[in-house]
Amino acid sequence: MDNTQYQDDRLTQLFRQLPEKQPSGDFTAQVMQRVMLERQYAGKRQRTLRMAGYVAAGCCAVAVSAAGAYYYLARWFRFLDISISLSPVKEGFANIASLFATANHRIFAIGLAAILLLGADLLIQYALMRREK
Amino acid sequence: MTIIDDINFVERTLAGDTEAFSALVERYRSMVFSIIVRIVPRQQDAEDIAQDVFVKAFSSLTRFRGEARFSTWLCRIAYTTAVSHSRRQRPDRAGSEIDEQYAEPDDADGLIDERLQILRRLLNQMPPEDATLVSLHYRYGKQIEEVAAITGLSAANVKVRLHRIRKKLYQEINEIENG
Repeated sequence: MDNTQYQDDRLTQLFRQLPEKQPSGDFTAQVMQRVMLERQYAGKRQRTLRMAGYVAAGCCAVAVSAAGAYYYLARWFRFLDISISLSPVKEGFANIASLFATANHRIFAIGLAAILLLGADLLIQYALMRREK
Repeated sequence: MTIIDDINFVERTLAGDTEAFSALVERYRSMVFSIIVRIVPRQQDAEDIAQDVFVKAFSSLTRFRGEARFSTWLCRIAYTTAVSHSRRQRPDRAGSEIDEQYAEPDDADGLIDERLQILRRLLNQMPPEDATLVSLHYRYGKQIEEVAAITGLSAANVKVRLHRIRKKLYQEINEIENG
């Protein structure tokens, strides 16, 4: 046995004789209480996250549908002149609305809204799955 | 045996058996507490951090892939949590609020063996990082690679530091033994 190994063994022996520092007696019970709370909160957080995802997806769908409606209303009733100065919000809507002008079909608006909704939902489900893993 | 037990307890916890996690807490509470108390000397703070460590471990148990031992994974959480807590503390508070009840006299716990008294004194005088390294290696039998994984140091660095500490400790203890 070389010198280093001998010193290692001696120190190991001494270290294992040293009394171990201990937390207070009810430590395990306190940890388990916090663990149970954490488990409850985790479930609640997950539900909140899922709900927030659905709300966000719903808002997306409403925004796209509103843009589509805005385009059709503007075209059919001709009460809006897009070329005149518009507020940034209206400009944003008008830009999205111009997308529908090329497709010129209501199904496009509904389809896009559905795809966005589905995409957002898939993203949320994926995020939740990663979290659970 | 312990490793297989640990994996078994982890799997049971993941399956929803919270009592299995309680067994893991019971098994590793002293080790986790010992690591933390070297870095955060206040008893109450150390206990709070030890609790946080177990709660964190429970929350992220799904991320434990079994590549390292469960104890090594847990020690890593304990070490990083304690270090980040001590960094957040103001420097003027560090070390100034060690509980009187926790300040260890040399003859505490019936340490009548002079070598053990010297060992404890030397450990208390060491920088917290060195005390943790040496404690993990000699007390808990962690290999150099495991100590490196826990502390985030390179294996070569751990080896050099352990060599230096061992030399010093052994010298002091040897002097006592040889009168």
